[in-house]
This record gives sequence, C-alpha cells and structure tokens, in this order.
Amino acid sequence: MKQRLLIGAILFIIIAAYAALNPPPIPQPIASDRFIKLDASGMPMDIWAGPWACILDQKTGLIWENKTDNENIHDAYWTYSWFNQYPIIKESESLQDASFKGTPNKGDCYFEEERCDTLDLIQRTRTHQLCGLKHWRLPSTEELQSLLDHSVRIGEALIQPAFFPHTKKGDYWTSDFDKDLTGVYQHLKFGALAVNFKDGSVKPIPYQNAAFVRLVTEASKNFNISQP
Amino acid sequence: MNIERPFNLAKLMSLSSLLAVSTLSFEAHSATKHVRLSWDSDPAHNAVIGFSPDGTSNSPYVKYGTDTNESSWSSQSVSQSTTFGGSLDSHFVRLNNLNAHSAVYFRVCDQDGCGDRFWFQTAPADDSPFIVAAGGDTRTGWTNRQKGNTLISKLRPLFIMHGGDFTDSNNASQMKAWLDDWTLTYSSDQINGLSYNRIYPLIPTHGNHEDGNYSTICQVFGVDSSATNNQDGQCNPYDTYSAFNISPLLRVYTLNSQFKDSGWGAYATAMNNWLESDLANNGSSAKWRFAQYHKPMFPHYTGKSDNQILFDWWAQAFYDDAMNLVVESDTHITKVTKALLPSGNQFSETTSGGTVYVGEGSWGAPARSANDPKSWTIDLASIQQFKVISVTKDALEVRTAQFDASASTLSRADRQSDPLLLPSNVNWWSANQIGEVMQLERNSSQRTVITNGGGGNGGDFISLAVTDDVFISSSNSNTNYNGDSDGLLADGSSSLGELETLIKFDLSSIPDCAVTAEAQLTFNVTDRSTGSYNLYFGLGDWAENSATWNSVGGSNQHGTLVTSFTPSSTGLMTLNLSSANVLEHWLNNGNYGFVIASAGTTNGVDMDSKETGMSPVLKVKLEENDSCGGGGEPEGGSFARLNQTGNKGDWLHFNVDIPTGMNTLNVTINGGTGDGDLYVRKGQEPTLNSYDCRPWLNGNSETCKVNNPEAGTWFFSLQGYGDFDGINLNASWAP
Repeated sequence: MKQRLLIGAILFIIIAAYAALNPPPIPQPIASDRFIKLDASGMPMDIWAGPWACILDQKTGLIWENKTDNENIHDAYWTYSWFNQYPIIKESESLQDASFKGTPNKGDCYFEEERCDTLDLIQRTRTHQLCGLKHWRLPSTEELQSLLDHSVRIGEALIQPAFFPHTKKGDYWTSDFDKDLTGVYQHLKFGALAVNFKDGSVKPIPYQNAAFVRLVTEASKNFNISQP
Repeated sequence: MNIERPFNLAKLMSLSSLLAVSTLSFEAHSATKHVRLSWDSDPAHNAVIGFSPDGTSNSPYVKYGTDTNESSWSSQSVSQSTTFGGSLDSHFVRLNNLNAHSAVYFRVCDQDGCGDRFWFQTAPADDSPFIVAAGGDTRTGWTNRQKGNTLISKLRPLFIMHGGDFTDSNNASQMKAWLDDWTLTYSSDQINGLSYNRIYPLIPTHGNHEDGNYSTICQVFGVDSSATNNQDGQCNPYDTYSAFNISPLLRVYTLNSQFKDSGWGAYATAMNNWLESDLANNGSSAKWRFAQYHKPMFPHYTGKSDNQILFDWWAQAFYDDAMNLVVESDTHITKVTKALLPSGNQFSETTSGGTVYVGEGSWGAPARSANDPKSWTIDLASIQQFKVISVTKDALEVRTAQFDASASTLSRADRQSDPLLLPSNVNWWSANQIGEVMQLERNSSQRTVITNGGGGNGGDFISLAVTDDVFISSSNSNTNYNGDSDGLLADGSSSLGELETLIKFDLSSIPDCAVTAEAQLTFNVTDRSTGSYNLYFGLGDWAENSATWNSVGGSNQHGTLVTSFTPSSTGLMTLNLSSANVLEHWLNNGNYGFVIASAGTTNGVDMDSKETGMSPVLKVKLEENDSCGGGGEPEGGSFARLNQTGNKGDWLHFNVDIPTGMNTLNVTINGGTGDGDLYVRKGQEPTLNSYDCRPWLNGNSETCKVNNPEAGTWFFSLQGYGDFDGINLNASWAP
C-alpha cells in the first residue's frame, strides 16, 4: 500500500511538472461556426454559457435536445424502447385506424409510472415545449449521423463534447423502422435503426431494445440566429 | 395582550404525553435497524446476522432459538463491528452449530430491549431441492430495485446471489438507502400469533462500483471468506472470493472480476490459484457448481469491452471442472447462452456438455441496448430482471423474472409444502426457442446439457417460435395491424368489426416426414373473455406485415377446426393439440398457421403478440419411431440453418454430432447475396488455415462431401470472405 502511495505521489509530481511546463492551449471556440447553444426558452446563449437545453446546428438547420445529468426527463442515462404512432393519422381516418409501431415500455427512465419508450419522451418534450418548440421527433438516420464526429479523443463518444455532453457510447434510436433483423434477432423480424456513438455504426436492433434517444426538430424558418 | 413565553409549554407537554403513549403501546425495542443476513460458509450450520445502530445501541447481541418460545433462546454476542464509508456502523453476529434444513428464529437486542422478530431457513444437508434468486446491479433506479426486492419477498428463495454494484458511489448514504430498500425483501409471517419477518441470506459479490473499497462486502454484510485466509475477523480484499457447498446439491463460487485491474495482480494470482485448486479438489463434492462474478467475459452490449482476461483466467477451468452455470452482471440486460466450451480465444457451442452463462445484471440499473449477441447466444433483451433457479438432484430450471407487480405472493405454508413452488403470474421473460424455462441436466462428465429448446431431439418437446402474428379487422378491412400495441385480438363484434388473430410458426427445424406425438399451444391472455373461441388451421398463405381482412378473405381463411376454448382468465393459456397432427397438416398442406376467431361471442379477447410481450409458443414432441428412420439400423439425419447473415471476416460456427455407421456427409450452402465461404472440420472449429473441407469458390454455392465421416462432433462454418446475407446451410448424413 505504502509503495503504491509513493508511486502515486511520484506520478503526480511528474504530471504536475509537465503541466507547468506545457500549459494547455487557450480554449478556442470549437465549432462555434456550426453549433449554437439555446436556453430552455429557445434563446441563443454565449458559447461558454450554461446550462443549455438545445443545440442549433446551423449546418443542417436542425435543433437537437441537449442531454442532462440531473434525472430530469432529458437525462442522458435513460433508455427507451422504440415505439411510435404510425401512420400519422389522416383526416379521413378515425382515431382507431392510427396504429402504433414498435414495443412500448421496455426502457428505463424514472419519470413514467410504467417503463419507458420513445413516445413517452417525445410527448413530454412536446408538452413542455422544450426551447419553445413543439415538433420534437426522432431523427432520421442521416440526421443523427450528421452529428458523428470522428475527431474526438480516442475512447470518447463520437460527437462534439463541448456542445453534446453526457453522450453515451451506445445505440441512439433513429426514426427509420421496419428494418430486417438478422442472427439471434431474426425471429423478431423487424426493428428500427440505431446509430452507435461508440463506433459510428448503424444497425437495426429490435424495437424492444432499451437504447438512448436524442430528439430533434427543425428550426423554424424565421428563427433568429443572431448571437447574444 | 399576548403573554410571551420562552417556548410553547402546552405543545411540549402534549408531545411528551404522545411519546409516553407510544412507548406504552409498543414493547421495548432495541435501537437497531437494517437487519441483514449473509452466508459465507457451510450454510446448513452457519449464518451471519448484520445490523446497524438506530441511535445509541449499547452492547447489542442476538437472541435466537429453534422455535418461537423465546424463554428457551440462546444469546450470541457481536463478533465483528465495522464502519463503512465513514458513517455506516454495522455489527455482525455469527451463529454456528445450527441445525440443517431448519428454521432459526431471532431478535436483535440491546439496552432498550429486543427488536423485530425474524426467522430464516438453514440450508439442507441432504438432496432436498430449493430455489435460488441470482441478479446484480442495484446501484441506481430505486423504483425498479424496490420492485425486484418486493418480488423476493413473494418468491421466498432459500438464498440470494448478488453479482455486485450494490450502489452507485459506494458511500454510506447510498448504502443506507440500499439497506432501507433491502427490508422490502422480508416476507411477513404470523407464527404462533407473533409477527415475524422471514429474512433471506445473501451471498454478495464485489462489483466495479465497489472498487473504491475492496472491503465493502465484508464491512456491509460481514462476509469473512476462508478461501485464502482462515476466517480472521478482519476485512480485507481476500474476503471478495469464496466457495462453499450450499448443500450436497450445489457448490457456489463467488469471484472478484475486479482483480483484473492494474495493481491487483498479486490478488488475482492468489484467487486464480485457489480457484483451480478448489475446483479440482472440492468441485465434485456437490452435484452442481455455480459461479458468480461481476464483469461478463463477453458483454452483450457494444458499449462494454470484452474482458478477455477473465475468459483466459477461468473459461477453461470452468469447462474442465464442469462449472454448470455462471451468473454474470454489469451490463444491465438479460442473456442466456447455449452450453459453451472455450475454443481459441472465444466460446463455441456444444451439445455434448459445457457451461451455460446467464446474466447480465439489471436489478434496478437502467436497461441498456442488448445489441451484441454472439453466435452462441440463445437470446437477450433489455429488461429489468434477476434469475430464479430451481435446483434439484438431476435437473436445474432457470427462469428470468421481470419485476411486474402482478406476481402473487407465496405464503409460509406454500413454501413449507413445496420447496420448488413459484408464485403464479410472475412475468417470466420468454427466451426465443427456449420459452420461459431453460432446463439443464448433467451428462456423464457432470457438464451441463440444455434439454429443451433448439437443442432438443426426438423424445423431447421442441419449442417452435412464432414467425408471424397479427390480427385482422372486418371494419378496417385493408389495414394491417402488425406490431399493434394491443397485441393480438379476437372478437365477434367490436368497434373495429369482427376481429381474428393469425399465428404462424417456424417449421425449419422439423423434418418433412415428422409425425406429431404431442403438441401444445401456449399464449398469454391479457384481457380475458367469458365467450368461446375457435382455433382453425389457416387455409391460405399470409405474412404478418401485409395480412389484412381482405387479403386473407376474412372467414374464408378458416380451415379445419382444431379445437375450441374459453380464455376465461388472464395469464398463460395452454391448448392441448396432440390429436390434431398439426405438423403433418402444415407439412402436407402448407404452413399457413392458425386462425383464432370468435365462436359466436362478442366478448373480446386480447393476447400478447411477439412484439408486445410473451410470444405465443407451439411445443411439439415428435414420434420417436416415425417413418423418418429405418428401424434398428443406424439412422441418417439432417441439419439446416437458413438465412444466415454476416460481415466480411465474420465466422458463424455450427456443430452437429454425427453418429457412427454413416456412409456420406454432405454439407451445402446456397442462396443469398455476397460471398460467404463454407468450412467443414471434424472435432474443432475450422480456421482459415485448418479445415477438412473448404471449396473456396466465388459466391455462395458450395458443397463439401465427406465419405465415411468419423462419428463425433463436426463443425460446419460460414466465413465472410466478403459481407454475406441470406445464405442457407444444409447438411445431411446417411448410412
């Protein structure tokens, strides 16, 4: 034990000395030309300010849900089974015709009486009008892939950490469903696509899987992108 | 005018009288709480009772006896006191020389009197059967954790194996909350007019969330392992691994996967040397061997890295010394594997005896995406669960309990009358091809063989998975309801008109000449009906993602009537179809499945579909001496794995036991897209350089012919020369 303490102390001194001789570079406003933080009412924030509720991607015009670490409904730790209303009800159809796709209540968040699915998060986020917006939904595969960033440090989730903190190295649901399952899951036949932020891969997984979710919505056309 | 008083005397007086009344209305009570029980050696005769002070508790001790007559009880003093995380004080009392297979009644006492009454059951010293619960990862998600704990109180297991990660930060306040929740595992019993809590012994494991303190399971549960040191009354990292016989039926190994981390090499060596020696010398002293440790060798979630080092440490020893069942944790999913044997730096499946691995810990902690199945995985899912294992002399039954409140409660009398009884209405997870119960037996080398599911052969029930299930509506006659959240519906009249359910099963494992000996259809009724329903054979082909009322012609889909039934209660309903020759019907007329339709009733029934819950299952038993074989002569056989998919570089291995006396063995692949290569090898998994046959052609049409194949295990493998998709592999052998 003593020996380990001693080694620890020596290591600390070496690291401290190295840090003193090599001060970290002054932080540059990373990718500030692309992402803008928005507060809970949708107002743009300074790049170093926080907390922020959403992120505007000026490249794609999409606004993304920011994940949290405070056990509210946007906590990054919660998982959801894939469950959505489909097809979107047409005026000519009665409510009973609106069928649901996927598997309800097979993930874990702690804001629902039952277990959780994607529709739970979508409906609550719409009701709360996160960032003043109502049309929250699951992203398409292409939309979610647009956030993949392979320039991050090895071992980190493949996304810009300064704007998308708490991102897990795991599967995030897309809206793309009715995808053939293979192997062990072949008997379940169909699932939805998930983008894996550990390796960037896109794979169909069963609707019943508990995966992470980052919701998206379009910035309205008259959204004011002026910096604060 | 107000009279100022220094304090409100009247209020103080009423408060103190209230206190006096409450003291009078209850008997004197010790200042202790968080009573817990653990096992760390010979549980037929020993147990460790732990508790914490609730206020000031002076010289606490335990009074205990063999019946509820407290005047005959003995006293036992504290043998060890610990402080965990700076502020969680615990005292431990060791009871020794207990009677095997008996109730022990006890109370924790101190200067204030004695606390709540508890009782527990010691382990049997004979081959009496029992139930074990095994799970892990209770560190977050207190609602799920509490639901799981409540299920323990209903289940009344003999003991509990916990795979580690008790709390998130391993601090005193979180551990106190954990101990609060653990009290939900107590069952309430009235015994001779007195209120007792039945308490269940725990065998705890060290998880990575305990890494800040390698004495956690000693400091919190009083575990003092004798694996390397004798029980020394001290807490140290040597207490994190142990092995002892529960009874002559079972020896439980608890291992510390966290010794793989740097800095723990000396402990790892000590543990692994001890393990090899113990397995070799003491492993066979019980009929069954279980192991628990925290980190899976091969987690079934891509967010977790493989722990190759654990495989290198243990997998071969487990196989060599017939470890029967391993319970892993950490990933927050469920999985069950085939019987496995190590092969190179991975596992391969075997039907001739191996080790079954189950897991992977989600007793509270949020479920994760079960996205990394292996070629040897039977099934996996993102659920909250622990395993419930029925242990008998000749067989194990492994179930996966989900934590729904629907489970009924076993009484003390229920458990006394049947040590294997399980509560009704537990939401058991149904694994593909296996169903809710995995049945395990030992072969002559004491290794595990799975006796139900896909591995079954003639004489056993085979569970056929649903490939398609959907309901159709006469009102919305062009709507397809596949995957609907209502599951499967049938009704003579509803707001959607007449509703009928279509179900179809996977017959790919059934030989063309099969003769049905027995057949049972099981489905889960979620909304019952007092009316009668008919089960028909389907008349025309359909698929679940396109079937509508119009596409199957409504009631024109009704073929021969198979049976009628009334789904009068919710839960699993099983129909005996043994006289209907279901397999022959489908093999001769086309696999169009069943139709469930109202026999006139307008009281609707709802059932789970494979998308909403427990999938319908058809269990069939084939005639042993059917026309497939040739009597006393050696019989040929066949094997098929259809629609196989893999990426470039992937290996998919299958193995089959070829009997003696065969003249030919033909293995072919065909169909699909891409470029998969066929490899065939006797005895071992083939590699790129070692094989008995490899056609190595472009595309997916390849054949290996082996003359006079040696009897024994043959491996048929697909290797991704490029990506491949939809390849069918067929093999046949004949005398």
